[in-house]
Amino acid sequence: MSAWRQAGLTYINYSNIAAKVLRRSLKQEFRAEALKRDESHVRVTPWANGRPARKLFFETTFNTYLKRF
Amino acid sequence: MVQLKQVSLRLKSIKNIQKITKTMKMVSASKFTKAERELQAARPFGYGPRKFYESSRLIKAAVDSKDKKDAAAVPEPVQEKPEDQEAQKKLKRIYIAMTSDRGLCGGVHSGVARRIRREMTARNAEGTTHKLVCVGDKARALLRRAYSTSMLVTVKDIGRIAPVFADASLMATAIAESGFTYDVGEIYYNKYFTAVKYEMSIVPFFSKIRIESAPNMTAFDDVDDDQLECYAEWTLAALLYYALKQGAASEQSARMAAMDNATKNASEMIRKLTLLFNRTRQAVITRELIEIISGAAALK
Repeated sequence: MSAWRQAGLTYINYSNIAAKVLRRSLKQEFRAEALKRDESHVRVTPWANGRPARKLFFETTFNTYLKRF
Repeated sequence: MVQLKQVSLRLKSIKNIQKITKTMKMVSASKFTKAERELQAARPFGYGPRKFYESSRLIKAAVDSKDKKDAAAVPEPVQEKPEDQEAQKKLKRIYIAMTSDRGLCGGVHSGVARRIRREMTARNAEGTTHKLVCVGDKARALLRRAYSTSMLVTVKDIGRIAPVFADASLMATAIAESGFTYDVGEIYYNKYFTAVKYEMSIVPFFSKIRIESAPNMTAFDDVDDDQLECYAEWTLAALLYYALKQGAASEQSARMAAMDNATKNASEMIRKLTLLFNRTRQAVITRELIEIISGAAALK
């Protein structure tokens, strides 16, 4: 098992972190444009028993891993 | 006199509406050019998975099917034996409706919702085995009443700005962490063809177990468990991104067409009302003249 999977990351987390690092390493003129793609503006609401439930813990973990880099 | 005022008020309000629809058309035209450009870059995200499904014989339909009927048909997993028909009915499914939050764009959202409703009733969907993911407020509004027990995740704030891969990642993570172990899933989205044509299409995705047991999986060299798990996670995010981009382009082109029609209709109404207004105005003037003249004649 890969080290990152053992640490609790999914492949999507892993791929996004790599992409984030790549965007940070771009030249100045391309950086601003690329950094706009870093953030997601959608809001996800899980549902349970036919009603919206409270936000799951996953959202903070996803963004926490992302913000570390 | 009263009629004249009503007509002039109506004329003013329709002229305002025409200005608004014309502005909306120009705004959506500019968003459309950007969306179409980004869609070109996003096409490989959809082509890759679908080609894999065909190579591994997970689905029957060819990727570049020329037959129009095939393109709109739901791509079903390959059925090897008659016993599989029964197993087909017991599959746990996810339906993903790809719409947005904003309206005034023709039939894009209602088309997706209608097709999902049709499929769910045809398969006798129950809340436990068939789950629904609504991307965009429009899908949620259209499907909430009938399928609230099947609702798994809803996604908001689509359509305001152009979608990015981070959005698709968030949605894929949400589906994975919701705890529902699905077998197959389908994404219902509007596929963009040209500025005047879009079509509702369906793309499937499979869980890791089903990919492992694909009929032609032996054709692939040296594929281990961890890689398949990564691939399954990645494919969902990639297909969601592809559907988001397609949906955005279709929506903007449909909104352009709808606002264009609205502007034309408003111009037509303005033309008719202007004629009516002029006729009414002249009638008022004539009536006043007649009153004055007959009054003057009576005094003589």
